[in-house]
Amino acid sequence: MKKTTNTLLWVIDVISTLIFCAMCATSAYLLILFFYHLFDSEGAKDWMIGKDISQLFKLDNVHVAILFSFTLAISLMKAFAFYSTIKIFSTLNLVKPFSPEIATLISRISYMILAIGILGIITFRYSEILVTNGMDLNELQSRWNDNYAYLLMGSIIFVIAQVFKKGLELKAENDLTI
Amino acid sequence: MSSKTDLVIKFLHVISWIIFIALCYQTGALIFNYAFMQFRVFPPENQYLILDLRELFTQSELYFGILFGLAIGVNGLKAYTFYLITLIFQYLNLHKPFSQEMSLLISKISYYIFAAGILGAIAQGVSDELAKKGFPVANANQQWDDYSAFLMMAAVVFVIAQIFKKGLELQAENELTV
Repeated sequence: MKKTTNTLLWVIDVISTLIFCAMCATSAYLLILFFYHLFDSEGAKDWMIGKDISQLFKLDNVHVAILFSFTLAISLMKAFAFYSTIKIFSTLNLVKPFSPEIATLISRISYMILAIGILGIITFRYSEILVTNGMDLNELQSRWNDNYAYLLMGSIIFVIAQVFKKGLELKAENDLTI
Repeated sequence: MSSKTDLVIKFLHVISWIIFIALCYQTGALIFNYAFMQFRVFPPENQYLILDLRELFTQSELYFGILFGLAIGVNGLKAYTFYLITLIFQYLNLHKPFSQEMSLLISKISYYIFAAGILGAIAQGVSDELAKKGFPVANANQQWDDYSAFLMMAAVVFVIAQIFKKGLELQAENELTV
C-alpha cells in the first residue's frame, strides 16, 4: 500500500513537471510566434494548431497587442497553476502531512484556475466585439472557448481547498481539547 | 476565522447543488431531444433543440445516435462529478476531518473528471472524422470542445487526491508512534 503510493507520487511528480514544461514551452512559443510575425505577417500561420492567423495581424496594432497579451497571460497562468502543483510535492511534510502551507497552495491553485476562466471569458468577449465590428476571427476563437470548463474546475478545486482549510481548523480545535 | 470558513462552505454547498442541477437539466434535455427526434414524436421544427443536429438526422441516423450518445455521456459524467462534490459536504466529518472517505471521494472525483476529458477527446475525434466525410456536425462541437481543460484539471485534482492519501498514511503512522 505504502510503497505503491510512493511510486505513484513520484510518477505524478514527473508528469506534472512535464506538463509544467509544456505550458512554459507554449508561452515561449506564443512569444516567438508574435515577434516572428510582427514584422512579416504575410501568410502568418499558427504552426501548433495549424491555422492561418494572418487576419489577426491585419487588425489595428492595439487590438493585436491586447488579444495577444491576454492569450499569453492565460498560458502563463496555466503554467503557474502547475508550478504550484509541483510545489505541493516539495512542501509535503512527513511529520505533519496536513499543514497550512498545503492548504494555501491548493487555494492558490484554485484562484489561479478561476482567474484563467475569467480572463478567458474576457478575451472571448473582446474578440466577439471585434467580430461584430466586421473582423474575421472565427478560426482564432477556438483558442479561448474552453473558459467555462476552467470555471467549473476552479470551483471544484476551491471546494477541496475549503474542505482542507476547514479540516485544519477542526483539527486544531481537537488538538486543543486533548 | 472559523465562522467565515463555515459561511464559505455553506455558500459552496448551495453553488455546487445549483451546478449539479444545471448539468442534470442539460443531460436530461439532451436525452429528451434524442428520444423525440429518433421516435419522431413531434415535428422537429416545433421543438426546442439544445443540440441541433436536424440536418445530420436526415442524412444518417446512426451517426446522429452516436453523436447524441457521446454528448449525453460527457454531460452525464460532468453531472455525476458535481454530485460527488455535493457528497463532500455531507461527509465533512466534525471529529475526523481528514478521513478515509474524503480521500476516496476526492480520488473518485479525479477519475470521473478524467473520464469526462477522455470521452470528450474521443467525441472530438469522432466529430472531426465525420466533418471530414462531409457530414454537418459543427453544432455538436460546443458540447465537448473543452476537453483539454478537463484533462488538465483531472491531473491537478489527482495530485491533490494523492497528497490526501499520502497524508492519511503518514497520519496513521504518526498516531501509532505516539
